[in-house]
Amino acid sequence: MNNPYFDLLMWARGPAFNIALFIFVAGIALRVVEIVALGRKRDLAPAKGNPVAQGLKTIFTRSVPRKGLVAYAPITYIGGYIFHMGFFVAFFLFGPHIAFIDGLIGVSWPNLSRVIIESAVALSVLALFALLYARMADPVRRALTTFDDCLVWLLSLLPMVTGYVAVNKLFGDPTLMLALHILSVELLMIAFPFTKLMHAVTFVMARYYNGAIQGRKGAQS
Amino acid sequence: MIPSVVFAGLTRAARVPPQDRGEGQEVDVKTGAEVLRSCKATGNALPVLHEICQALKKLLDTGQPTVIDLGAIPFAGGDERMMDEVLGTGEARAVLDLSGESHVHETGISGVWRVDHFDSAGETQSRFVEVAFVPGILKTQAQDASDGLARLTERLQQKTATQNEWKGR
Amino acid sequence: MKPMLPELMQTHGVSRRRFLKYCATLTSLMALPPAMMPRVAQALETAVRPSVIWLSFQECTGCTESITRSHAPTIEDLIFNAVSLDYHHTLQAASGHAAEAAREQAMKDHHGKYLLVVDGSIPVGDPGYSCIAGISNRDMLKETAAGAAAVVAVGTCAAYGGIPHADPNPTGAVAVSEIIKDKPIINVPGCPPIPVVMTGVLSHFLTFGVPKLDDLGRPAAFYGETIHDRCYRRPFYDKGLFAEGFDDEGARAGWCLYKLGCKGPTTKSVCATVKWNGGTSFPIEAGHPCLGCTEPDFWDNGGFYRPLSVPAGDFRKVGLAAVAAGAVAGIGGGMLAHRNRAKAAAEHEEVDAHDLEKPS
Repeated sequence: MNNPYFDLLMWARGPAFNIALFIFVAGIALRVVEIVALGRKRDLAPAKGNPVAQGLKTIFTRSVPRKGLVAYAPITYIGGYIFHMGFFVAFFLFGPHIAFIDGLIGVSWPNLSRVIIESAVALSVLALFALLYARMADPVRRALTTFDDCLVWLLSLLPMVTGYVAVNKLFGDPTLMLALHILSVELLMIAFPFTKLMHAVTFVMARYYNGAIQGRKGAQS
Repeated sequence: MIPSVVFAGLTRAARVPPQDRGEGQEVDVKTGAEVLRSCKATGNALPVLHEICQALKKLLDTGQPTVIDLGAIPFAGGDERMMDEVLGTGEARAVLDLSGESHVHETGISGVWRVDHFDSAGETQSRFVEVAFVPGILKTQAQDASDGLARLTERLQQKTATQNEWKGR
Repeated sequence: MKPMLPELMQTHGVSRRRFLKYCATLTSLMALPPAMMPRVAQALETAVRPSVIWLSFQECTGCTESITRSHAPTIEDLIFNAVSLDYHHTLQAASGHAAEAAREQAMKDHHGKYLLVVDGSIPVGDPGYSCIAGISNRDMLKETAAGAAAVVAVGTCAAYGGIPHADPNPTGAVAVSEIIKDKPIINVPGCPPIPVVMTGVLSHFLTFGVPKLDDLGRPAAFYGETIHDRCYRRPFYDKGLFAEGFDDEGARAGWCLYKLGCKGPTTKSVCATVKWNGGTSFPIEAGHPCLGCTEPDFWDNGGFYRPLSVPAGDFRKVGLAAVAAGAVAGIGGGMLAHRNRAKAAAEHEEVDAHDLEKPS
């Protein structure tokens, strides 16, 4: 006799994770290498200023909103911050997740208690709904919304909801809910390199590039 | 692996024994039981107390006793504390020796009894709240009384026989 | 067949009050409401002593060891003595032909009424892998189950195939439920099951018949909640305090064993409340993570010492292969882009306004 829930969990932890990991890692490597391989033309006219330093600085300074924008689009900015920080806390500071990363690459760090993790998750989920509302309430942004955006929203929401349900045993078999949580993360991993989720990696390159342009004083030839 | 080196410090920090963490902050090293006692309530105590209240009314109105199985309700340390606080300690207390002890005591609310069964190693077997004039387990069972009668008769016969023997000398 | 308990209690000098204490605990253990206690007592008193045939197939005798370890003279022991164990090749005195004759006699005398208890899995590969008195396990199970009132599959091997069923399952071992389809089967998994759970299930069968079972054929009263739900170390999990090794301060302070591979969150059993060795402790209390032995395929569920959240496959190789594959594909993509750019530059032709105005 088999426990179908356990079989699903083992499939999620075994073959499904391997597939998701391959697509996730290969996809990111593909896109990053492709972007880097495009290259830039050699700069024949060395300029004043320090484009490298300005590029590195911009990676961080762009994390702070520009003056007036928070007041202009409060839900987008505050909701965005809450979502990103909550997601970060829940993913990187929950004991079982650290055990996962430790198992994967042999790195670990201290974790937080469940109360804090769950508060972060709850805030993140609320923020996601607020962001969706703000997007849909504004006709311009609604018109700009693509299938990709909705998919990414759903894929970001699912791991948090399933994780919360699995840990708190709100409903369903605990083994099944754990399997669904892992599968939802695997969906996120598979979609990651091919959707706007990729910004979690490319934001560094994009900000550096923009910063380097700003830091360069002189005409490029 | 490079990340391992980078994070080695952090990793070590995570594994520092609690008493070496310093900061004057007492990191509690407690036994599991202590933690259970110190942890929060599940909120189950209040409904149980209401149930006890209803059972006591029923006892007074109809004379019918009620037994509540505490093993069937998820109870945390906080709930236990609340139960003890509200019910308090009463006048009667009995220890029964039945392949391990059974502790029976009346709470501060007369008619509400706590019955805790332990095995011979002292581990809890089952725990009940009994709302009754006398808990069932305290009553002598007819069958035991009849066994007792048989034993008493036998002992009396023995005694009579010995005394007759003495008289006969 | 005669009522079992009253005389036995008298011969062992057990008072009725002691019996009532046992009934109270048993009622609580069977997850029945306390008001049912008189009915449990009555059922135990009037239940007839049933014939039990115990078959041991591909097993280690751990389950038999476990059930006999309820140290005498507990009343659980009495209950167990109160069944007529007509065949159990480890415990019975008879051997050889006499033993088999006892089994056949019991089957004939109590046809349709005896209880069949099985421990061990059944090989469906070569019948020679495991046979008793020249009869293959499969044939003996089919033959004996045919006249049984119900079957109790004791231990994870009988319930789900257990260790013999573990990958690569050389003997083709299967659970009782794979072979017997027309009888009620009560699965009492565990490696081994808790003695009190085995006697509790037998008591329930004697008093009220087949208990309520879950999707995996286990009595819901004993396998309704996960070990994690009732674990005394649960507060540490919630506080995020985990033992990182078997000898660190966390382990000594009794912190949660999740990171050492504890399967408590996905394992349903009453180990944390009923406990082992006469209620002394249970594996997690002794400092070892739960292996998840009451669940099917527990032997193959991704490693005993790997946390539940850690992938079970050979993911490192996959990850490295993915980096290589992604990099190669990326370089390929980059080269393609370069070639397209060069091609576009080569095909570049100059046009002026006159060309554009030409009718096309």
